[in-house]
Amino acid sequence: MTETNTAGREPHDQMLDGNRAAAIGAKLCRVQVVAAYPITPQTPVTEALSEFVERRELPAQYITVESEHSALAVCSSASLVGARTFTATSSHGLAYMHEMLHWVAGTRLPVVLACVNRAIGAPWNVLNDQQDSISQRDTGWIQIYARNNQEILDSVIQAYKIAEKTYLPVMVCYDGYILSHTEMPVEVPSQDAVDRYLPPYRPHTVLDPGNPKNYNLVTLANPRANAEGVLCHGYMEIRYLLQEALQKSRETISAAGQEFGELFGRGYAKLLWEHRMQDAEIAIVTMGSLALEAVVAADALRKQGAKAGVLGLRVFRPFPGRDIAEALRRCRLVVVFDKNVSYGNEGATCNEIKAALYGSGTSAAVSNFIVGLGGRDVKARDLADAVKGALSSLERGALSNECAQWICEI
Amino acid sequence: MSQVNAVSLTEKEYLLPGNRLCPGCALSLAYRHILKALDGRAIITVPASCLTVLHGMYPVTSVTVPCVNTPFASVQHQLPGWWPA
Repeated sequence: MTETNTAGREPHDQMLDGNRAAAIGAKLCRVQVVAAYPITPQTPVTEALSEFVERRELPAQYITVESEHSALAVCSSASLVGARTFTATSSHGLAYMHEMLHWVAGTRLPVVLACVNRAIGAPWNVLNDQQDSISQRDTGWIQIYARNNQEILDSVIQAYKIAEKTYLPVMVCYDGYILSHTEMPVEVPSQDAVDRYLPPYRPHTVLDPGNPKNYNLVTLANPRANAEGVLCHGYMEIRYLLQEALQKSRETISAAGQEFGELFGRGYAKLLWEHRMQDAEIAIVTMGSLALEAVVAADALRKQGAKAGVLGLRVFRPFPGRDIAEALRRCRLVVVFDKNVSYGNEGATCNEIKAALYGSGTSAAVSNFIVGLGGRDVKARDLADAVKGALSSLERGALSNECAQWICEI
Repeated sequence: MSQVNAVSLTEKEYLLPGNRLCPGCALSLAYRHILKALDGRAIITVPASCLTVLHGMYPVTSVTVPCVNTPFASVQHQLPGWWPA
């Protein structure tokens, strides 16, 4: 059994798998209500949190529910009355939450959810890809993707800071099995330091019979006057405010990451991460744990004389389009590896990166590869070979910009 | 809560006159008396239904107790969230 005591005054290193790192992150944030339904590969998160609650290490309510839809419904109602709430899920569980994902974002509740990325059926598959969280892209949640278990723990702590400042829900995504079930050294911050970083949650709303309010009433598209004749927002204005909050959250995410760095020594001021991008002509773009293979691939390409670097997306929503265009400004080839597909088009991150480059003045060619679906192994060599293939096509003037290539046997 | 019957119901109204239900619908009458029986000691949650319609259109409501409107499948999960929180 891994040591769970995090009450110490000093940070300490532990060997943690990604699920335990997420659970310890939530515990350090002193979450008050946890509602979650077990699903592979997220289950150990629920086990760890119920263990913390049962051992009275975490003075929280652990609410057992009969579905993921209910889990998020409980989190939303608890958040609405002022509790800091946490849930976690994967794949079909996240799909089952879909309606409540919209509802939580629309109600502007700072719920934090750990999404342990897993393929989605049919056919059945419990291994990793990112189709589950990518499919929830447009629900109004902030999405952060972790590269390793340290980033999982750090991102959960930052997630509460961001969520409670912006009144936006945050999804912390990490690759199933590759991170969730793989132990690596993680520095666990002290409870004192996390308490200094994270002030108590102040709800935007209190359900009080002495001051009755009616939440999420039917709302017409156009503004409408209240009983005093004051014009109030219509549905479209309320939805605009959600979009505006997401757009402005880039600054909050950056500030939360910067402050985290000042307190804990690991800074996250950027929504992207870079490896050897200063003079790179070829950029490998990835999101999540594929970072490791991408870095190895770029270093190998450098040894072979190609000026390669890696641009990683840490935050997918809000999309850091301007930062991406700036980072890719000098590249002649951008190779995007997606562990998801927007069926009928291409990989979702590639699609958005192309949009970010439009009008930015870059002349970079963009090539897209779909990799690692359903846990298909992705090796650094596969990435390097794909980049070399794209480079050779580019130099022959034969690079297809139209459809993604799948690295599989078809 | 002490026993409440039709005679001992409070004079106080928790459902104000005028709502968006179809004229003559008995739901208004039933809901008015339910809120009286609870005498304001209630937080209401409502799934998508005619009761949502009764609750009015933003920014106006005729219901004077706190209410959370929810999608169908989450109405029963309001209490397990409120109670511990």
